[in-house]
Amino acid sequence: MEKGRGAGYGVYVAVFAALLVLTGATVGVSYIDLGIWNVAAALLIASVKATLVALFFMHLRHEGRLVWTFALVPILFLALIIGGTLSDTLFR
Amino acid sequence: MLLFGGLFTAYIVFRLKFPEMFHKDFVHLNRVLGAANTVVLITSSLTVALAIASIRKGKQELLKLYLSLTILLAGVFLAIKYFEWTEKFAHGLFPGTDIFFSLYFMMTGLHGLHVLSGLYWHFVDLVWIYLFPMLYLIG
Repeated sequence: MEKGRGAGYGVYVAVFAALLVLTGATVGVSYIDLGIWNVAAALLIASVKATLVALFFMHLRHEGRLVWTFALVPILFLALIIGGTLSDTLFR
Repeated sequence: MLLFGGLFTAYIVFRLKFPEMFHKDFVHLNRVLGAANTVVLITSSLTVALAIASIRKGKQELLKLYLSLTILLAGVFLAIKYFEWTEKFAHGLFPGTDIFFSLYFMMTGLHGLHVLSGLYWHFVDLVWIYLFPMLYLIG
Protein backbone atom coordinates (compact mmCIF):
# COMPACT_ATOMS: atom_id res chain seq x y z
CA MET A 1 0.00 0.00 0.00
CA GLU A 2 1.18 3.50 -0.75
CA LYS A 3 2.10 5.85 2.02
CA GLY A 4 0.46 9.14 2.89
CA ARG A 5 -2.20 10.53 0.61
CA GLY A 6 -2.85 7.37 -1.33
CA ALA A 7 -4.65 5.74 1.61
CA GLY A 8 -6.25 2.39 0.87
CA TYR A 9 -9.93 1.97 0.22
CA GLY A 10 -10.21 0.05 3.51
CA VAL A 11 -9.73 3.16 5.64
CA TYR A 12 -12.58 4.92 3.84
CA VAL A 13 -14.90 1.97 4.22
CA ALA A 14 -14.06 1.73 7.95
CA VAL A 15 -14.79 5.45 8.43
CA PHE A 16 -18.02 5.01 6.46
CA ALA A 17 -19.05 2.14 8.77
CA ALA A 18 -18.29 4.27 11.83
CA LEU A 19 -20.43 7.10 10.40
CA LEU A 20 -23.32 4.69 9.86
CA VAL A 21 -23.06 3.39 13.44
CA LEU A 22 -23.00 6.96 14.79
CA THR A 23 -26.04 7.88 12.68
CA GLY A 24 -27.88 4.90 14.14
CA ALA A 25 -26.77 5.93 17.63
CA THR A 26 -27.97 9.52 17.29
CA VAL A 27 -31.37 8.40 15.94
CA GLY A 28 -31.66 5.78 18.70
CA VAL A 29 -30.81 8.26 21.47
CA SER A 30 -33.40 10.71 20.10
CA TYR A 31 -36.18 8.26 21.04
CA ILE A 32 -35.09 8.28 24.71
CA ASP A 33 -36.13 11.33 26.73
CA LEU A 34 -33.00 12.68 28.39
CA GLY A 35 -34.13 16.29 28.68
CA ILE A 36 -31.36 18.75 27.88
CA TRP A 37 -28.92 15.84 27.45
CA ASN A 38 -30.63 14.92 24.17
CA VAL A 39 -29.26 18.15 22.74
CA ALA A 40 -25.80 17.49 24.19
CA ALA A 41 -25.73 13.91 22.85
CA ALA A 42 -26.93 14.94 19.37
CA LEU A 43 -24.34 17.71 19.07
CA LEU A 44 -21.54 15.53 20.46
CA ILE A 45 -22.28 12.71 18.00
CA ALA A 46 -22.60 15.20 15.11
CA SER A 47 -19.23 16.68 16.02
CA VAL A 48 -17.57 13.25 16.14
CA LYS A 49 -19.04 12.52 12.68
CA ALA A 50 -17.92 15.89 11.32
CA THR A 51 -14.42 15.28 12.68
CA LEU A 52 -14.26 11.86 10.99
CA VAL A 53 -15.37 13.34 7.65
CA ALA A 54 -12.86 16.18 7.92
CA LEU A 55 -9.92 14.02 9.01
CA PHE A 56 -10.40 11.12 6.61
CA PHE A 57 -12.69 11.99 3.67
CA MET A 58 -11.31 15.53 3.44
CA HIS A 59 -7.77 14.29 4.21
CA LEU A 60 -7.20 16.90 6.91
CA ARG A 61 -4.97 14.48 8.82
CA HIS A 62 -2.41 14.67 6.01
CA GLU A 63 -2.49 18.44 5.72
CA GLY A 64 -0.03 20.95 7.08
CA ARG A 65 -0.49 23.75 9.56
CA LEU A 66 -1.78 26.24 6.97
CA VAL A 67 -4.74 24.07 5.92
CA TRP A 68 -5.54 23.27 9.55
CA THR A 69 -5.61 27.00 10.26
CA PHE A 70 -7.98 27.61 7.36
CA ALA A 71 -10.18 24.79 8.63
CA LEU A 72 -10.29 25.80 12.28
CA VAL A 73 -10.33 29.62 12.24
CA PRO A 74 -13.81 29.79 10.60
CA ILE A 75 -15.14 27.56 13.40
CA LEU A 76 -13.68 30.01 15.92
CA PHE A 77 -15.37 32.88 14.09
CA LEU A 78 -18.69 31.05 14.07
CA ALA A 79 -18.36 30.53 17.83
CA LEU A 80 -17.63 34.25 18.22
CA ILE A 81 -20.66 35.20 16.10
CA ILE A 82 -22.95 32.88 18.06
CA GLY A 83 -21.50 33.94 21.42
CA GLY A 84 -21.69 37.62 20.53
CA THR A 85 -25.27 37.34 19.30
CA LEU A 86 -26.41 35.42 22.37
CA SER A 87 -24.71 37.89 24.72
CA ASP A 88 -27.18 40.39 23.28
CA THR A 89 -30.39 38.40 22.70
CA LEU A 90 -30.27 36.46 25.99
CA PHE A 91 -30.04 39.57 28.16
CA ARG A 92 -32.65 41.89 26.68
CA MET B 1 -19.74 28.86 6.24
CA LEU B 2 -20.95 32.44 6.51
CA LEU B 3 -24.29 31.69 4.91
CA PHE B 4 -25.02 28.63 7.01
CA GLY B 5 -23.34 30.18 10.06
CA GLY B 6 -25.89 32.98 10.06
CA LEU B 7 -28.75 30.50 9.83
CA PHE B 8 -27.26 28.34 12.60
CA THR B 9 -27.05 31.44 14.78
CA ALA B 10 -30.67 32.34 14.01
CA TYR B 11 -31.70 28.78 14.84
CA ILE B 12 -30.00 28.94 18.27
CA VAL B 13 -31.41 32.38 19.10
CA PHE B 14 -34.99 31.43 18.20
CA ARG B 15 -34.77 28.00 19.74
CA LEU B 16 -33.81 29.59 23.07
CA LYS B 17 -36.53 32.20 22.68
CA PHE B 18 -39.38 29.90 21.59
CA PRO B 19 -38.60 26.39 22.91
CA GLU B 20 -42.31 25.37 22.86
CA MET B 21 -42.65 26.21 19.17
CA PHE B 22 -39.61 24.10 18.27
CA HIS B 23 -40.92 21.25 20.38
CA LYS B 24 -44.39 21.39 18.85
CA ASP B 25 -43.10 21.62 15.27
CA PHE B 26 -40.20 19.20 15.11
CA VAL B 27 -42.54 16.20 15.53
CA HIS B 28 -43.90 17.00 12.03
CA LEU B 29 -40.54 16.11 10.52
CA ASN B 30 -40.01 12.53 9.43
CA ARG B 31 -37.08 11.14 11.41
CA VAL B 32 -36.80 8.02 9.25
CA LEU B 33 -36.59 10.01 5.99
CA GLY B 34 -34.07 12.37 7.59
CA ALA B 35 -31.98 9.41 8.72
CA ALA B 36 -32.27 7.81 5.28
CA ASN B 37 -30.99 11.00 3.68
CA THR B 38 -28.13 11.10 6.18
CA VAL B 39 -27.10 7.61 5.07
CA VAL B 40 -27.42 8.67 1.40
CA LEU B 41 -25.13 11.67 1.91
CA ILE B 42 -22.57 9.75 3.97
CA THR B 43 -22.47 7.12 1.24
CA SER B 44 -21.98 9.80 -1.40
CA SER B 45 -19.13 11.24 0.64
CA LEU B 46 -17.59 7.76 0.65
CA THR B 47 -17.93 7.43 -3.13
CA VAL B 48 -16.23 10.82 -3.63
CA ALA B 49 -13.36 9.75 -1.37
CA LEU B 50 -13.09 6.45 -3.26
CA ALA B 51 -13.20 8.29 -6.60
CA ILE B 52 -10.24 10.43 -5.54
CA ALA B 53 -8.37 7.36 -4.28
CA SER B 54 -9.04 5.64 -7.62
CA ILE B 55 -7.69 8.43 -9.78
CA ARG B 56 -4.59 8.70 -7.61
CA LYS B 57 -3.96 5.07 -8.47
CA GLY B 58 -4.63 5.90 -12.13
CA LYS B 59 -7.82 3.85 -12.38
CA GLN B 60 -9.97 6.01 -14.61
CA GLU B 61 -12.80 3.53 -15.05
CA LEU B 62 -13.28 3.27 -11.29
CA LEU B 63 -13.24 7.06 -11.04
CA LYS B 64 -16.11 7.25 -13.54
CA LEU B 65 -18.04 4.57 -11.67
CA TYR B 66 -17.67 6.26 -8.27
CA LEU B 67 -18.53 9.70 -9.62
CA SER B 68 -21.61 8.33 -11.38
CA LEU B 69 -22.67 6.71 -8.10
CA THR B 70 -22.15 10.04 -6.33
CA ILE B 71 -24.40 11.87 -8.80
CA LEU B 72 -26.99 9.11 -8.48
CA LEU B 73 -26.93 9.45 -4.67
CA ALA B 74 -27.30 13.23 -4.97
CA GLY B 75 -30.40 12.56 -7.06
CA VAL B 76 -31.78 10.21 -4.41
CA PHE B 77 -31.14 12.81 -1.71
CA LEU B 78 -32.98 15.51 -3.65
CA ALA B 79 -35.85 13.15 -4.49
CA ILE B 80 -36.38 12.36 -0.79
CA LYS B 81 -36.14 16.07 0.03
CA TYR B 82 -38.72 16.86 -2.67
CA PHE B 83 -41.03 14.19 -1.25
CA GLU B 84 -40.65 15.63 2.27
CA TRP B 85 -41.35 19.20 1.15
CA THR B 86 -44.46 18.28 -0.86
CA GLU B 87 -45.73 16.32 2.14
CA LYS B 88 -45.21 19.37 4.37
CA PHE B 89 -47.07 21.57 1.86
CA ALA B 90 -49.93 19.05 1.73
CA HIS B 91 -50.24 19.36 5.51
CA GLY B 92 -50.38 23.15 5.24
CA LEU B 93 -46.85 23.68 6.55
CA PHE B 94 -45.12 26.43 4.60
CA PRO B 95 -42.06 28.67 5.04
CA GLY B 96 -44.46 31.32 6.34
CA THR B 97 -46.11 29.04 8.92
CA ASP B 98 -43.83 30.08 11.79
CA ILE B 99 -40.18 30.67 12.62
CA PHE B 100 -39.35 26.97 12.92
CA PHE B 101 -40.64 26.19 9.44
CA SER B 102 -39.03 29.33 8.03
CA LEU B 103 -35.71 28.02 9.32
CA TYR B 104 -36.47 24.46 8.21
CA PHE B 105 -37.26 25.44 4.61
CA MET B 106 -34.46 28.00 4.42
CA MET B 107 -31.79 25.69 5.82
CA THR B 108 -32.80 22.54 3.93
CA GLY B 109 -33.47 24.59 0.79
CA LEU B 110 -30.08 26.29 0.84
CA HIS B 111 -28.47 22.94 1.57
CA GLY B 112 -30.41 21.32 -1.28
CA LEU B 113 -29.18 24.02 -3.66
CA HIS B 114 -25.61 23.18 -2.67
CA VAL B 115 -26.29 19.49 -3.32
CA LEU B 116 -27.77 20.40 -6.71
CA SER B 117 -24.83 22.58 -7.68
CA GLY B 118 -22.36 19.92 -6.57
CA LEU B 119 -20.24 22.46 -4.72
CA TYR B 120 -17.48 21.05 -2.58
CA TRP B 121 -19.03 17.73 -1.78
CA HIS B 122 -17.82 16.87 1.72
CA PHE B 123 -18.88 20.31 2.94
CA VAL B 124 -22.45 19.50 1.97
CA ASP B 125 -22.11 16.34 4.06
CA LEU B 126 -20.70 18.28 7.02
CA VAL B 127 -23.59 20.76 7.01
CA TRP B 128 -26.16 17.98 6.83
CA ILE B 129 -24.46 16.14 9.73
CA TYR B 130 -25.49 19.10 11.90
CA LEU B 131 -28.80 19.97 10.21
CA PHE B 132 -30.23 16.48 10.67
CA PRO B 133 -30.06 16.36 14.51
CA MET B 134 -30.88 20.07 14.88
CA LEU B 135 -34.10 19.89 12.87
CA TYR B 136 -35.24 16.27 13.08
CA LEU B 137 -33.95 14.86 16.34
CA ILE B 138 -33.98 17.44 19.11
CA GLY B 139 -37.02 19.39 20.04
